[in-house]
Amino acid sequence: MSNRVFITGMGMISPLGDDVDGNWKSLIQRTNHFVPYQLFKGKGKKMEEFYVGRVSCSLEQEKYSKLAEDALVQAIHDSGINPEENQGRCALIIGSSLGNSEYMSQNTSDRYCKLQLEEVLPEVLAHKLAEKYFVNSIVMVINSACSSSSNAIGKAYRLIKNDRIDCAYVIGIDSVLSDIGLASFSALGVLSSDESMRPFDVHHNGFILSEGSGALILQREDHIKEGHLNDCTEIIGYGASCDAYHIVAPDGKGEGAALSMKKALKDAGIQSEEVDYINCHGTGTKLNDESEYNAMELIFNHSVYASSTKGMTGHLLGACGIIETIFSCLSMKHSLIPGTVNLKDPIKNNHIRLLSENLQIKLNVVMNNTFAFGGQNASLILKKWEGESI
Amino acid sequence: MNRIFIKDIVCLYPDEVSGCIDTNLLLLPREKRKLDRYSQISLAISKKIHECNPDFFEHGEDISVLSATCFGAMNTITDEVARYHETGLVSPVFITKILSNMQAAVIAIALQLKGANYTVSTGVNSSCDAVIDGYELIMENREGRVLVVSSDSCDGEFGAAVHGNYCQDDVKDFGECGAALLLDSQSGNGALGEITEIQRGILHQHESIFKRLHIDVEKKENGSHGIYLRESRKQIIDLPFSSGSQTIFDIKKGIEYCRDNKDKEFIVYTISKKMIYSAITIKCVPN
Repeated sequence: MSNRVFITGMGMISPLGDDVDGNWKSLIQRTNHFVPYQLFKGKGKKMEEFYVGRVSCSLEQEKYSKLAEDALVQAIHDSGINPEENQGRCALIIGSSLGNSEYMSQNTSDRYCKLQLEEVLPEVLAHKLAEKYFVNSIVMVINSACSSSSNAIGKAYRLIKNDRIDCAYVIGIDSVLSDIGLASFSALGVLSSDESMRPFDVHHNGFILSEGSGALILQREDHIKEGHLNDCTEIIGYGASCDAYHIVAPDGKGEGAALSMKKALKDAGIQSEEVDYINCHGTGTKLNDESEYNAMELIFNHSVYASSTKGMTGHLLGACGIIETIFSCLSMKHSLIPGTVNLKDPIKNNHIRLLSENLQIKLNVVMNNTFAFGGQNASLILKKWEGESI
Repeated sequence: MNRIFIKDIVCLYPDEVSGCIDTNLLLLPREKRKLDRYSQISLAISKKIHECNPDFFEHGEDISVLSATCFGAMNTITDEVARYHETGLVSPVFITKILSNMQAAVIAIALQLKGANYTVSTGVNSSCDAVIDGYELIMENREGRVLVVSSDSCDGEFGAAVHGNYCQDDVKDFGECGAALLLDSQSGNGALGEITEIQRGILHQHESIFKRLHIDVEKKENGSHGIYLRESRKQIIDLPFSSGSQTIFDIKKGIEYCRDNKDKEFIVYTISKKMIYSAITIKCVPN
């Protein structure tokens, strides 16, 4: 048995806004939301300034669990479902790479403190949310760093498609803005020291670290509440692969990333020519951008639009896959591709058409790609629901 | 419809004196430097199972690595946070040590395996869920073969706090563990067992796992994990606790028991403190 799988509810909190509409509006307006963060390093407390993407959250100590739950509540509300009513077999899957690093930094050094484990371990948070929102089937956490939430969406999609569950709550979450979080990524040499990112530009300068969360409600076709189908997007393909190359650098040829795109196209049963737009991982690091462009060239030998939204949101690590999936859905809904900010001199300008400005155009099929430290790649293919009967 | 066979299982046990698993024979110092202890154990055990099954690892493009951990890098996090507060500096390998996806990634890099790759973290259910995910990957024709690896290395106050949150049993000793299992759609020679059913769900308060799995057993104690033998209707409990590796240890024990006795089929299960369970039914393949 093979079910069709639809996204029926969306929720998100990012530096661009506290809900889906606010995020989309900020993305299209292209105003910079990054704020300065002063980091004092070493015994001499040498000051180094970075820019970060912060969310507005009053509860710093419970930020991680609050971000996850708030996004989930938005998505549940958007889908029109009532968790207390029977949703059939309902699962909850979280994609996350690290917990609340500020909380860990402040509390794990005190060996006698009572830890709030839902701030440290996503699986504890998953168990708590599952209990509160009447999940009755599978509860799991997938960690594949920056591709975590894409793999979580992919897992939920496969479970519904293969009739193992009827409904899934998928959450992507990361909250690593802290001195130790910034210092750790700074030590890897991947952070931008400017107030902006320049994905796919020859002057790419690294990424800006951000925090945030996203949530999706996935349902099989016959479980969708009446009147909600018009706003739905269908997930038609998912592929995952590993570069098997290096723990922090991507395979420069892009073969690993191309493999996940190839698997997603095969799963969707479509040719690459049918993809109208690629929402790229586009972190703004030289290694990622070049590898990603090469990967797209291996799969797409015809003209296709591509852009990265990270220049606006910053890098939300484990949450970026779900946030960018939501942007992909909104691109189809509004027939608008968000351009890549600060893209003046593209690293390449072949048939993969990197957009620097927003483009109004009808979209039917969108691919979303995320790639991770460790070489873990995930590709999702989304299709606009055109009103055909299901 | 695919059939899924267990081709081999390797378990690493800690030395009785040191309480640690010896990884020195399997890993080079430079391999260990960038990895947390639990990822080192995973890599060591993967190399060991690779050495014993070279044929399985041909065509790495179609082989997936799914890893499982209960505690992750808790020890490294606590040590590095203390170091940061003292010196204001962070090791350049801190991120690679604490990201639990590295547990699966480093194995893929070492063995050149390019299929789906991620880490499952569901407390005591971790390795059971990873085996189930591997089963689903093959069943869905997404991968031909899957290497499932689990490991943990955690002690101290934080380990105890995490453990107490996951597990219903009051177990004090939960040091190091590591295990690996190969799943294949082809039976070939030397398959140990066949996975015939998987189940995941949440038990109601006071509900027995046996009632949910429709099995009749005299002693109805759930525990955190266990093995139920179908023919003899016996339950094996009082098994040692192996945190995130529990299910792979239990599958090995179940297969050994069936081969030594006349049982043909058994069920392994794990149950978290929140009553979330995972269960796998395995039919033994005779020697």
